[in-house]
Amino acid sequence: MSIWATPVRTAGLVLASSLAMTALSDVAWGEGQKSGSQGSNSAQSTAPSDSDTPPKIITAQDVDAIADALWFYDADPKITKDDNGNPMIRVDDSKTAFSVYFHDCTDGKDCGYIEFVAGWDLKNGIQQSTVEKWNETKLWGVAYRDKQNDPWLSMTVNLRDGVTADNFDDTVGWWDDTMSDYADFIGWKK
Amino acid sequence: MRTMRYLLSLIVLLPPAAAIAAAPVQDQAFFDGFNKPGTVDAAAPPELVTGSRIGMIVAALEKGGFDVAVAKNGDGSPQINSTDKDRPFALEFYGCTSGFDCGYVQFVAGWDLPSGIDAGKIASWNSDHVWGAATRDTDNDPVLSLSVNLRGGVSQANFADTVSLWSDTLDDFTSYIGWGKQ
Repeated sequence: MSIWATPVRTAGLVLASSLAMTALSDVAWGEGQKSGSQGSNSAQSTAPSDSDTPPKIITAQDVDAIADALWFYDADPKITKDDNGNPMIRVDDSKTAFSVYFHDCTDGKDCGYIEFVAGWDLKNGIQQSTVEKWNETKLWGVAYRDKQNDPWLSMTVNLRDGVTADNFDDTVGWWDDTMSDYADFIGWKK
Repeated sequence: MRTMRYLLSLIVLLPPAAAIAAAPVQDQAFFDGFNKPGTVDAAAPPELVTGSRIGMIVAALEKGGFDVAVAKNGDGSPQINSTDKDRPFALEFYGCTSGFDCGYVQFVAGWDLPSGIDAGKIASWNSDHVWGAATRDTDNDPVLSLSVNLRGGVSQANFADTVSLWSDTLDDFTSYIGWGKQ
């Protein structure tokens, strides 16, 4: 089995399935990931806001800052570009693989939204009803299947005009916890 | 006559209707009554939108073209409802502590179709679209939701953009499911 984090979508359109999938063979999920409880890693990378100091604001133009917020994984996030020339961040550590795509960009810059995406390669795929159950009951993460019936999870975040670093760190914590929950939900064997 | 409803609200998210207090006067003092943030959101400068600043959320929704009313749930938490009969939805609050200091909101709308909607059409939405999670209720009717993190604060321009995204996604999904064409 493997886990991947490969582009399958752009804003509203499915890309060709011929996009290369970078599979990580025999990857196992670690117990508890890195963040502990939901959102609990949010305070670790950013000092609490001081009322006299304007909070740090994150936008999708701050690719480095977004990558920095993913500091707690074993492997350093890699900043690359997708096929459209937009920024893209990949995290491939010993337990986790996902990508962060940038949307609503102009000439590869001034992007407004980011999308966390992860996929899992299961031996027999997953039932559509299982995917539906996730979407019906979970606040975070949209579940779907690819043409091989393998499960994917995405979470889109609006960064247009900025959110606080505290807010973004909390979002990253939710993504990490949601990925872990989803891996359990789909029966991914550690 | 077809009706539109908040399916998730009815089944999963909402307390019984009786638990929602009668609509009070919708003034700033009423909105301020929800503003009891915890440590994180209390540190957000006043110009930022958080889940405790209901007046700012209402203002953004109204500026985005929606007519809304705020209700107080039985646990004290807020709920904002679109009162536009042609574009109804609810804005639910999550991550609250005893009804206050809510960190997350979810836009949710449902449609009552004569024959429900095919599972494959819902699945296609979720695999092809960046915004909005599509689901079906127990009657196979379509439901659309969009969750937003406000913990720690977002800029007013950011939340205004999110309202616009919800508005566009709501319209796109309404067309996608063939609403009004039955």
